[in-house]
Amino acid sequence: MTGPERVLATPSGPTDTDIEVGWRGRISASLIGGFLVGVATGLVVTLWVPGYDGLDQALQGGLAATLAMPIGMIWILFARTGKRAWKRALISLVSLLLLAAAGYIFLKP
Amino acid sequence: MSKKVGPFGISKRQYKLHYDLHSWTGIVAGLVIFVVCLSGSVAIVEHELATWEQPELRLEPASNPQPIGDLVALAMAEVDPRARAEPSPAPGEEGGEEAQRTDSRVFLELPSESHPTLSASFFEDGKWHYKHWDPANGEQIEVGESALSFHTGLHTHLQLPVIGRMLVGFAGLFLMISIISGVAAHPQLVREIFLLRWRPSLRMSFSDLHKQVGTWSLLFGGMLSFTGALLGLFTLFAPVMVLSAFGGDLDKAVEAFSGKSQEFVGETADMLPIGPLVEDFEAQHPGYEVSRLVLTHYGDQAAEITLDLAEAPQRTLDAPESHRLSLVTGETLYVQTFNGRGIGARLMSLTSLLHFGTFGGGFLKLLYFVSGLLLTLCVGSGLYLWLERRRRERADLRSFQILERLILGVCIGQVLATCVSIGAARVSGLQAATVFFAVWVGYVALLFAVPRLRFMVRAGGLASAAALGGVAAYDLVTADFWFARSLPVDASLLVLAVLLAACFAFVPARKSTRVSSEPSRDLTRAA
Repeated sequence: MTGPERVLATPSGPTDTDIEVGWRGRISASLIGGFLVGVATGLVVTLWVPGYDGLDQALQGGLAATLAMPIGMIWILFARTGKRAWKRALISLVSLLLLAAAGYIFLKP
Repeated sequence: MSKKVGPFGISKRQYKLHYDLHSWTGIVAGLVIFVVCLSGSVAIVEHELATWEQPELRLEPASNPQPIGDLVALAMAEVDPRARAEPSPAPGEEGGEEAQRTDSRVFLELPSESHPTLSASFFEDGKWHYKHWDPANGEQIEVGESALSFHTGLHTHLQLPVIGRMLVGFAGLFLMISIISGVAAHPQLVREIFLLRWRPSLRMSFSDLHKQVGTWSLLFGGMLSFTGALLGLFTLFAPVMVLSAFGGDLDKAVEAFSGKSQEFVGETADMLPIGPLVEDFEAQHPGYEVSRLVLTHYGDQAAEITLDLAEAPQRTLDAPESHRLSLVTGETLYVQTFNGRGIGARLMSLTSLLHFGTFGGGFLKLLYFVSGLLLTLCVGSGLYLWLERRRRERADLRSFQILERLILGVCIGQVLATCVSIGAARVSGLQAATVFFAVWVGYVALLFAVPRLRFMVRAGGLASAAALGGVAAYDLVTADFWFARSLPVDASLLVLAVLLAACFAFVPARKSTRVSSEPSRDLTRAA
């Protein structure tokens, strides 16, 4: 039985064991972190991969972001504990901030 | 070194990982995916079934139709007060703000063989309005609310505000993850490609059905989930990507996407004749036809017309083009085309065409419809398997009983509500949204109130079949001269009703005994 199944099937809600397993943390972290990974990847593609024009670059970025998001989600979801999942989400956030800063410094109009 | 499993040669640990992931995505998003898949199957044939659903629109092709320009002028006089000869309010004056809103945009669908009326749609007072005119005499045709449009809305945004579209995008994303992990978690994929066991137990039958339907609709499901996720989540990522691509300049970004719009002036002006404009445009683009017109600020100095050009009939994956012109001077203001504009734009246009199946005519739409239903069946059977696997150990637990009734209620309730709302709209013109939610919520409530679950499941399924068969029979009897054209639709609905009735009359009567299809058993066999 997987973590979320146990959480949903337990009569009195999640037990201590579930919390130890950290599935709730992993689910939340994977949704947030997955989105951040998606945005970060999309930004890289939009800012640094050449396209036909600005519109084309934005669309490329959007496509890349949508593809990267599930990969990021799975990466975070399968962290060994909930705490590690949040660490991975934090790594995603830091990467995104660094990318945004780099984009602003090197590519500002 | 861990043992490799199945045709993909993955390790036992990876196999377990994929199995967990498949299970996890089903638990988190299974119900939303089911709702999106079923409503999507209905939405895909919305355009094709418009005249079936609203018999008032069933007109004989006009032998001597009124000129397009006259019809459009007539339509605009009906739908937009600013189209009349009265002076328009200037910005800042009373009504001026309203005049500047985007709801002064009117979408017009021109008469064609499959759509014999001139139809207008516009957004006003917080909702969409639809009006239709007979091209032969210009008379307005009163029709009831479309149930199919409601189901399209349910598919695209779950009938919720902005967040609905993102939720649907997430559902597509989870479906995509579920499909990939499902393939990896099915080591006997090739060997069991034709395996369908009916006899041993209901659970085994559902397990085989889930695998078969999943395997055979793998490519279709993968494509739909990916394109659906892109369409849904693009709204989530687009602001960031667009702003970064245009250095934070919002105006520039909007202009790149949709061209610069003319601002409402508040002075009336003579409009160019629309009929010759459409004819000239079609003559300049052989093989294409103007499928739709969008009129903005009609009657004003800033009036614009957008002509949507599509292949006639659309048989390739070339993206439709949009040309926006000033309706006062005829000057071209913006041309939106994704063809030959780079890989990002091309992929985005392909995404829409592939997801909506608008490139292959009626037969392709039918294929999409059937495949959509199969995908729905795959999701539904997956949810059922998840419940069955836990029944033996947790049948007495209150939480399990609630979860079981909720899942069955949402899934079978949606099937019932869909059939009843379409039937009610067709027969008596009842508002689809009210009927749909009343039936859906009512069925879920009944499942919780009536202890005989098996009886309720069967009753729900049989009632759905009765509603579907009933509306098909009603249409056959009242079809009149349109009989030949509505016959394929009625026949398809009758076949669906019979299949539905057979499934629900037969399936819930069978015992759901515990059989081995746990991953460990599969693993043992594969190893």
